[in-house]
Amino acid sequence: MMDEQFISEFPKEFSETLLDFCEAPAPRPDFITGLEGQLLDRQPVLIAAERSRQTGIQNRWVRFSALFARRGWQYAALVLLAALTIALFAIGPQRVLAQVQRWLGYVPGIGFVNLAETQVLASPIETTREGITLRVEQVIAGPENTQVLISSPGLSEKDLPWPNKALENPDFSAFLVLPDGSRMEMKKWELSIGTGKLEFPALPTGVHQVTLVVRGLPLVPPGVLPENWEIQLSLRPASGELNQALFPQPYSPQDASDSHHGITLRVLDVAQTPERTALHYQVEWADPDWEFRFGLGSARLPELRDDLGHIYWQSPGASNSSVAVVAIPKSKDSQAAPTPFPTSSDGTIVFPALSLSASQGTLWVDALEFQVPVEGSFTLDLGKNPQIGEALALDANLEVAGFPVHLHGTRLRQETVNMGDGSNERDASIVRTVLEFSMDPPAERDGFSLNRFSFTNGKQTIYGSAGMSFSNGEKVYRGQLEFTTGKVPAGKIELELIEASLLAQGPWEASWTIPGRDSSKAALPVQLFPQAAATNKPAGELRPVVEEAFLSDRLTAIKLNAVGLPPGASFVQALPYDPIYFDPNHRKVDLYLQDNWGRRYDPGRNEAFIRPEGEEAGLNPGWMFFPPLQPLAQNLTLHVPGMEVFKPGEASFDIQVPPDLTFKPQETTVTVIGGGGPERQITETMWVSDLWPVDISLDLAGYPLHFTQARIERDEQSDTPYTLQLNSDPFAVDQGELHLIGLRFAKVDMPDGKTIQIDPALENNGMISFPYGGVGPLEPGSSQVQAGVGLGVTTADGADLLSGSYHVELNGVTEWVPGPWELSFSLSGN
Amino acid sequence: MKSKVLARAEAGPTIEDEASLVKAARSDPAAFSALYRRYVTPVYRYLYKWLGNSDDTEDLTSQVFTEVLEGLADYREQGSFAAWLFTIARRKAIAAYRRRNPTLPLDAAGQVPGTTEDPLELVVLGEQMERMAALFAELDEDQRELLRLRFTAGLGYAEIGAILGRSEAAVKMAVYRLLRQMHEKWEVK
Repeated sequence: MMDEQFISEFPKEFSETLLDFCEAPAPRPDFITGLEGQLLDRQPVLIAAERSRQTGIQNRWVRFSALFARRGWQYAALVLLAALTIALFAIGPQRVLAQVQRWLGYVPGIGFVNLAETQVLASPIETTREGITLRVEQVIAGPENTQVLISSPGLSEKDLPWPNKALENPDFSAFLVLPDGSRMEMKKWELSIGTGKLEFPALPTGVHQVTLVVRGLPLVPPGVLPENWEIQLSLRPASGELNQALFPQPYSPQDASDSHHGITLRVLDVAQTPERTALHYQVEWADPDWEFRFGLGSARLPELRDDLGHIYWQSPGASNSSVAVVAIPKSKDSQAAPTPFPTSSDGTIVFPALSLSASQGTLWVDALEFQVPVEGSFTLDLGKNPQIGEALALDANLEVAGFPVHLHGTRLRQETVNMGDGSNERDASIVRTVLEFSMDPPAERDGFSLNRFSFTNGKQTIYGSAGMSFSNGEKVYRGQLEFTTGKVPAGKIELELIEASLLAQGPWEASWTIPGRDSSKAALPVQLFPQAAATNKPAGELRPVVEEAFLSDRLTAIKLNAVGLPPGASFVQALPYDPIYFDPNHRKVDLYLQDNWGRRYDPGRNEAFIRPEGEEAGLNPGWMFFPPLQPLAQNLTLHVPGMEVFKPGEASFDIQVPPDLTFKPQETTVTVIGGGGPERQITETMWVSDLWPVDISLDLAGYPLHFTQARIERDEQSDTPYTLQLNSDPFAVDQGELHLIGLRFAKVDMPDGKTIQIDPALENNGMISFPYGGVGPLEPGSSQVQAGVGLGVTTADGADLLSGSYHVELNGVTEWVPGPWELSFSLSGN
Repeated sequence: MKSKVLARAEAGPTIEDEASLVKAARSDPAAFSALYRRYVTPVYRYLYKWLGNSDDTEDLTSQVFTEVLEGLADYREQGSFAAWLFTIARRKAIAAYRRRNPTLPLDAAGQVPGTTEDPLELVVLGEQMERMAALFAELDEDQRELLRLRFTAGLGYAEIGAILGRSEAAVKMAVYRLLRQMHEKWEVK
């Protein structure tokens, strides 16, 4: 175990001053004696009261147990049933619901909130200066804190100068002024462009009016927009009627839980609004030494599903509310005697609004992560003179949280890490000295798998962690040991385990019935199978067809296929433009749906999707998702500029990657879209090797290709930093005709003996980054193009270039088939 | 300089001993008295660090032990009694601090310097305490609470973990990292 007394490892001057500073005086001896006397005087009274209570409980229990000779779990159920019955008879079922719900409100932007002893704003308050509005959306002033939601309607990142200095240094300032003139400073805040959630301490008793002073709008740089805003806020005690008028009323579903491996996931409360569905969930486990790692899911995002087949992912726009503090009313008893070791954890997760026709909801979670205690140590031998770049022979076996672990394949290296973003990127880089190694995938046991673990040496100058991570959509197991002083010790180092996390594998599916929904009267989704999609092209030609349509109040889904395909060929997807001539500055999307009233529906604007093929992971690109239709739509037309089809073929080649390549920096300009700002150009440095000549000729699906140049690119920020690039001789394409756009791979035999098999389903989804093969113009807009291949050439531990011979097999190409087509069909099914 | 204790004593009663004592304290005044005597000074010191004066600290210490006495019958015999006790103390300290300082952040909780009799040492110690106060001023409230529970109340990592809802290992690492950060800044300053 780590040294319990590790403060003694710091210099005496520091540790003594720290302890002096933390010192506090001892109580007066007469105070100790006096209080002891008072307590002992009171104890007999409490003991008598407790005995009376116990006797009553025991008598009742004897009668129950005499009547029902049952097993333990049945007793527990009986007690719960009895307690519920007593509660129902005492105050009536409706009032039980009212008692529970009266003080529970869902406040968008904050989460589920206990409104007892709380003051709120009766309505939003705003003030406008120079055309800019600051609005206080809501105030929740409770016994724990005062939360204020502010917004600047209409203000967007496009209105602000960029780079945004306020984003890099968010020295946001706001405070409350109380009626006596005193100030209450902000404790913490969350800001995004135009919105902010501010938290202040609880208001003193009797304070109903405060003034909010905001120096500048959230994330608006100084001097750009009006500053020094003041808004007077009049608060009202939250009451049943006011709460109902202001906040969506949550409901508590019955038995919405699922248990695996002794771990239960429950949905405690649900709030459904026209915009979103918020779930208050609880995870409960048995072992008091475990700690739940906040956040649901592991490899896959948590999903909200309904009984109509809709699937909803967590709302990006509501991410703030998903981390909101949840305050649920607790009984006085539970406050008086808190459980020393909590074995449950709750949180809020927000999804888009459920379908109005859904009568059942399900929270689906693939896995849950727990931090568990670990003990033990292991030894690594770094040799007599470890050098940067050196591969060390490591073969260590250890046990972590009961899981056998095998570490191997070590390399010592230095890496440069960018710690900042935006304009700070270059200034914030640090050099780390690390030992990287591989790890055998630990076997799953009783539904649990070892996710990660960490360790340190006795002097805490070396830290490491190892475990599972994702690379190119696949699980990889590796670890890293960092020498924080930059110095690598020689010989053996003893490493103590600090902590580990386990993944409990599910899935958990907590389902509930949505109250007030009559499934017999619900407007169910419509499924259409247009048999003869009308197009503006003659029949028999290669063209797309609408095979199926799924219409609901949450989305419009259309499945496309193609007719007139050559033997062996298959439809991949509809495309909005020719990918060879994609122009980021002119992204007009001509792939859209239109109804008979001229209303346009763009793809990807849907908040829900479906998995009609029953696939658990991935999306079939043949399906396109659009927003729900307007109710008056009678006919639909899908505008398709072009499509991608797969054409089979066979070819293979071998390529030798030389060792000991040298790399030099090459700066490239990259267009960044999104990520907290408008579209912008940034300069990135890529490390590249010199080009070397190759001679690889292929005839693939009728396309002759001749690759003549190769080089390696190194991207320090990637888990798989080394990529082989192959370039072909230029060839001409006709922009208006069918032409090659992509190469498809079957498998790659690596120099280390491993074979990568390429799953075509994953490739269709774009989930495999390497290998890839595409075609691009030599110059923007040029009809002279070049084929390129990218192949991952990194060692399994992600640390180094894997040199040697690669054997690559291809199984076809994809082609751009130019349209446009207009695929029309009637919603009546004709 | 006089010698200082570099770490609080961790070698107290075992969990088994204490569980027996807690169980007995429900009905046996002598057992309750022993439990009280064991913890009254750490609780007092911890509360003093929050409140900064003996009058309020004595009042709150009384409240804490009264609640403990009343809650003993419902106390679940799992985990550490100290964790339960300090959860109550912490809740009361925060509530009292807020009542008294509604406009001040928790971070402004009072600091109490140590004592010395040597005039020269007073000057040196004063400078060092100022440096330490500056380091504390840079900590957030969660970090200060870690140090209060560890070095003022003298609690073990498992107990602190139970109070703060974190694992023992996580608390241990958090305290160590915090000390390391503070020490680095101490050396710079």
